[in-house]
Amino acid sequence: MLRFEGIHFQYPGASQPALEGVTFAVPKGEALGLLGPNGAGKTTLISIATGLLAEQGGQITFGHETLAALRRHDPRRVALVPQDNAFYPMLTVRENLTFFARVQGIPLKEREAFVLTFTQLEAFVDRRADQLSGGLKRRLNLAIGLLADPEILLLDEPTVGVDPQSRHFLLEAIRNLQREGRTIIYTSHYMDEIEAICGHVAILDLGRVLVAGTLGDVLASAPPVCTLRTKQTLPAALAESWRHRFDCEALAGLRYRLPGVRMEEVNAVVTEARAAGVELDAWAWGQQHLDDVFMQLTHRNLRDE
Amino acid sequence: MKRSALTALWFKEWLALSRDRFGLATLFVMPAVFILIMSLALRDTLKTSGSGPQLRYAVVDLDDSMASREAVELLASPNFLPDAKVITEAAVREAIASGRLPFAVIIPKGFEQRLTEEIGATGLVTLRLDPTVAVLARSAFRQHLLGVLGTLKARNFLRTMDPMFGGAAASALNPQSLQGTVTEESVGRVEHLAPPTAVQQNVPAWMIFGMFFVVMPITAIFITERQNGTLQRQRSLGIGHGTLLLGKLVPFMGVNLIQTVLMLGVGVWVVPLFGGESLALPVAIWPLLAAVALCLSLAAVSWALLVATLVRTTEQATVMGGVGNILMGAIGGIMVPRFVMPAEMRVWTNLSPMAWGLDAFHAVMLRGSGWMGLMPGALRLLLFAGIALTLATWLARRGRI
Repeated sequence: MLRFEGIHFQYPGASQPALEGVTFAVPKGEALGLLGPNGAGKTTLISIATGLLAEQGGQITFGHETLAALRRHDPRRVALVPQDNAFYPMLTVRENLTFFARVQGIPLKEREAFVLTFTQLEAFVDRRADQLSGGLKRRLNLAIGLLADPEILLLDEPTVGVDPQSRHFLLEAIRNLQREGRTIIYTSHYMDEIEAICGHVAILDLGRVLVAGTLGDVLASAPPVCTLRTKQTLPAALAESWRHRFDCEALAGLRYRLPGVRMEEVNAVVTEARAAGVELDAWAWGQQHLDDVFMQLTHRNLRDE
Repeated sequence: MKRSALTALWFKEWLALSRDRFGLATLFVMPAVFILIMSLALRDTLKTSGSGPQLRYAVVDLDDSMASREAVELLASPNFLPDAKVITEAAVREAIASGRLPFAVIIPKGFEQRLTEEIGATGLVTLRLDPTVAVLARSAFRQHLLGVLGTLKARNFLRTMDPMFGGAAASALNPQSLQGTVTEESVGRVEHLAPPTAVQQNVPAWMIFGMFFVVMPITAIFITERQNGTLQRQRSLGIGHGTLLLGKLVPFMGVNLIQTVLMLGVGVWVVPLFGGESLALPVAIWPLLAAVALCLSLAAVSWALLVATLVRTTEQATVMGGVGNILMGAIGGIMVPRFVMPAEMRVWTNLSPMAWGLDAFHAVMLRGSGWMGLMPGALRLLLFAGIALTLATWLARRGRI
């Protein structure tokens, strides 16, 4: 278990702590999606986990050992794939891999072949990094992070700015890494990515954990929602009634969201719509999506860093 | 792991620098061009041996007497070259106004008569000159002219006192005959008299300037590494601050040593190709030059690392690194040779590490002072390097890299 317990950190001169008693855990070999609006403290937490910052309170443990001690004994067991393309643009793909392997004292031959195949960069080994496309750069960034065959992988928004194909490739690759038994912390603003690859979720805001647990638990923490797609606009009287009873919200494209509808009320809602002369294209009832949960928990207001 | 990390960092720096065309131009082409231009431009001005800069002058002899012809004859000297084409006052004015002629001597009518009859005669001749001529050159020509007039007066006196034998004695008296009355003795290597020649001044000066310019590529690399996250990535891999700094120190000291060899080569072989003097570097002083270069390099790279830990943006790097170097060069006797500065300015040169390096080079190259001679400059450089490196490491540990 990778456990964060009561992590506290305040930047010098800051009026508020960046992290305040952050506590959550990731089972060994699982992936946790770390979510939060800008300024929530995600990057600070990742920096503490990688040793770039020292926690001012609390501790991070992996099994029976603190993460700091584990890094001290063998820094290669924890790897960071940073948000930026953290490699040398003037060097080729192979030169970058060689450098980051040698700097960690890793026997290059065996790992280079693996990471090149894993990230499908074999055809680009002699290309300068600044001449790679956005997707290839992201793959090189990931390849460098995998050189040490880390047990714990910290991925900080690894799919920012890539095309859908590259994004799909990266997500599949990360899913495979988790299947191989690596413990992964994955930060992203893309909720669908978290839902696709993470079995666990922690949502941070203003330095505090709002919710943490399995993806199912977090989704269940918000009430189920009923959604309708209609052929006509709701009559004013029905719309007002639903707004009052179910907190009905009109969405774009003649879609309506009714978060207050219980499962046993769904048939009544459909009947009321038809009785008011509204034809239904589709309707659904069930768990909310992660982005809905996220927006509800973080209160939808804009966060400017 | 530390050793493999260091060799990886060094190799990466070499690769990165070898692909940085602008960085290479700054480090190698800029000082070489400066050496060439300044050595040629100051070739005559900083000449310390031979016949001097050979300034041209004209004489307008309106008296056309025996004494005036004697004056014309005595004015010719190895350092001053007569211009026989300019022989009228109008031509003199035009030649001086157009900058073709720095000096002209007008010998008025009645010159001979006043020379023989008036003991304390004033205004015997008129010296016309270009106001832009350097004060030292103007003073030298004026002294030469006074010497000629003094000689003429002395000859005239001898002829008047002893008509029978005075003529021979008078003819033997001339300004050149007085040259041997002063014996010059240089302290140090006799073949090189202080102050330095153009090539002795400019080769070490611009070489030092170029060495300190490692601040530009080093800060540029640090800023890039900080911005694209490679420094943080290396830190997260357990690479210590000291290792990161050492990873830059050694390759750039190598760059400095290559600069030293190339710039000395420019002084020895390239400057003469363009008509300048060749830099003399006896094999005996090579170890001393290498020691000075190492101390200088350590100071230059340590300074660059300190700047790199202090700045956050390219603009800050340009001001602190680039402008800082130019100021160190300006007060350190790089751009303006120290020996032409007034005494009160020379005191300020002691503040510049570039001046300490230049002093050490001159101690070796000009005064043949040996190991003891280069010690003051070398020790100052090592102390400066130690302070800069300590500060850089302290700042790095406080999260500046």
